[in-house]
Amino acid sequence: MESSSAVDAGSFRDPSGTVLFAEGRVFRTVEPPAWDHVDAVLAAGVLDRLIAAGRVIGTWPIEIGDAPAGLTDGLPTNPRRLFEHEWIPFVSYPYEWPFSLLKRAALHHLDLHLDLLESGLTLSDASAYNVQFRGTKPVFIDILSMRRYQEGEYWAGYRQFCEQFLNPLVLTAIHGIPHHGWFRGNLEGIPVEDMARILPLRARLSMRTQLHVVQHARMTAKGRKAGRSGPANPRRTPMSKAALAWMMKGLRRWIAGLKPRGVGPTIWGDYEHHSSYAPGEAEAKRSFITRYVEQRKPIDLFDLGCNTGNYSQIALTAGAKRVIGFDFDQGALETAVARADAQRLDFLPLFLDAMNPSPNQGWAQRERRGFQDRAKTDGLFALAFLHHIVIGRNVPLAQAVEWLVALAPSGVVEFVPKQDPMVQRMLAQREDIFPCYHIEAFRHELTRRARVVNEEAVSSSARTLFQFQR
Amino acid sequence: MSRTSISVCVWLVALWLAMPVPVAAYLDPGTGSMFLQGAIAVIAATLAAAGVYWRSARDFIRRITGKTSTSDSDRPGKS
Repeated sequence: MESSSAVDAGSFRDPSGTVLFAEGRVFRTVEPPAWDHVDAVLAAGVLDRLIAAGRVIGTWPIEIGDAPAGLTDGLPTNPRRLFEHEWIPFVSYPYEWPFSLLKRAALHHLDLHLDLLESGLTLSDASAYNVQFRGTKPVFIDILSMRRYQEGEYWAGYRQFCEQFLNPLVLTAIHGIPHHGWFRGNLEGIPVEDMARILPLRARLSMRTQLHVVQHARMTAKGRKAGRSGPANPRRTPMSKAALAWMMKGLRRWIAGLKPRGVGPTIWGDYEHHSSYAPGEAEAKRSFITRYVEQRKPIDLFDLGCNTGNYSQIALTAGAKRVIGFDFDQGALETAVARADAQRLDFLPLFLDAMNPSPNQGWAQRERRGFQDRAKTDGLFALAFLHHIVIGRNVPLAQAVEWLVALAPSGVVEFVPKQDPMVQRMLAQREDIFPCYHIEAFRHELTRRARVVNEEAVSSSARTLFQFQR
Repeated sequence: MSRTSISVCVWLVALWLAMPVPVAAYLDPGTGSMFLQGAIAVIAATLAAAGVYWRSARDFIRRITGKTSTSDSDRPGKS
C-alpha cells in the first residue's frame, strides 16, 4: 500500500528524529539515542510552561497505534516514540523575514536558551529555521534541540547563531543591506569570515563586533588550519554556566539595540498616506474587498504587494482568519509588522520579490521549499500589484494572470489602466512596449482561467477590481 | 557587573586573542568558535578566581585593621 505520509525534507540533519506530515497533521519521531534528553526535558517541567506561554510549538506524545496508517512506512526503522505538533499554517524562512522579525526570532532563541539553562537544559544548535511565526509572534518548533546541560560545556550553536541571526542583522544595521539575498544565497547564513571582511573600521572598534565577528573569524581561520594537524580531542577549559549566560545576555543586549539602517519612510512605506485614491474611492475599494472576504470567508489569505498591511487588516476585520502579506519594500514591511503588533492581527508580513520568489533549495533542492510549493491559500489579494510586474518588469499579461489565478481558488485582482498616474509615471522613462496592456485583454485572460464574480471601477482613473473564482 | 568592567573584560579577551594561540584543535566546522569560547572560558575562570582571592584579601585586611564587612542585609531599608 502506498504511504500517504511525507517526510519533511528539511528534517534530515538531526538523526535523533524525523518530521512527518500526514492528513494535515505533523508528527516527530524520536529515536532511542534522544530518549534520555527528551525525558530530561519532560521531567524538568519546562516544556509545558513554554508551550503554555506560546514560546514553543504545541507538542504532545502520541501512541504509534493512534497515528495515521502508514505514517512511518517511508522510514528505515520503525520508531517507538512519537510526538504530534501543532500545525504551522505557513512555514517561512529567515531570508523571507523582515529585519524586525529576524531580530525577534534571534531574541526569542536567546531567551529560550537562557530559560532552559536555568532548568538544567540547553539547545544543541541555533538554527534560525527552528523558529517559525504565528502572526508576528515567534515560536520555537524543534523540541529535539532541547537536551540536558552538562556542566562546563560550550555553546554548540554559537557559530550558527552568529551566522544565521547576528551577522544578517549586523549586515542590515551597519551597511543598510537587506539580509534576504545574502541569506538566500547561503542557507547557513553569513559566514563569520565574510562578515569580518566587510566590517568598516568604525564597526571594528566596537568591542562586540571585535569579539563576535572579528576575533570569531580569526579563530575560525586558525581552527581551519589547526584542523589539518591538531590532535583529535584537545583539552578544553570548561565554560562556566555564568560565562555562557554572559555571552548570551551580551548578544541579547546588542541585538535588542540593532535597527535597520536606511529604512526610514520609503516610497511604499508611506504609500498609505499618499495613495492613488480619493477618500470616496478608497471606501469603494474597501467595500469591494470586504464583500469578497465576507462572501468567501477564507481561512488563509495571501496579500501580494501588501504594503503596510492596510488591506490585510481589512480582510482580517471582515472575517479572514489569517493573512500572509508579501512585499519587497523594507520600510513597508517594517510598518506592516508594527501594524500587526499594535492591532494584534494574525498577519505575517514577509519579503517576496514576485519576479524572483524563494526557490526550492538546500540539499537535493528539497530542504527548503520554494514559495510556489508552499503557496496553499484559500484567498488572494493582488491589489495595485499586476502593473508592477507587467509594465515594470515586462511579464506578459497572460503569464501574470495565470500565475495569480493559480495561487488561490478565489481572489481579488486590481487592474490599473495606462491612463492611471502611477502607470503614466512608470512609462514616462521608457518606451511603451505594452500594446496588449488594457482592461479588455486582462478581462479576457482572467475569464479564460476563472469566473469573474464581480467587477467594479473604483477610481477616477478607472482602476478596476475583479473578483475571480476558479 | 558595570559597563566599564564589562568593557575591560572584553578588551582583555581581545588582547589575549591577539597573542599567539597554541594550536590544539580538531577537524570540526566550529573549531574557531570553540577556540573563541575557550578564550572566554579562560578569562571567565580567571576573573572568577581573581574575585575569590580579592574577597579573601579584602576580608583579611578588614580583619587586621579592625573593620567589619557590611553586608547588604545589614543596611537600613533592606529586609
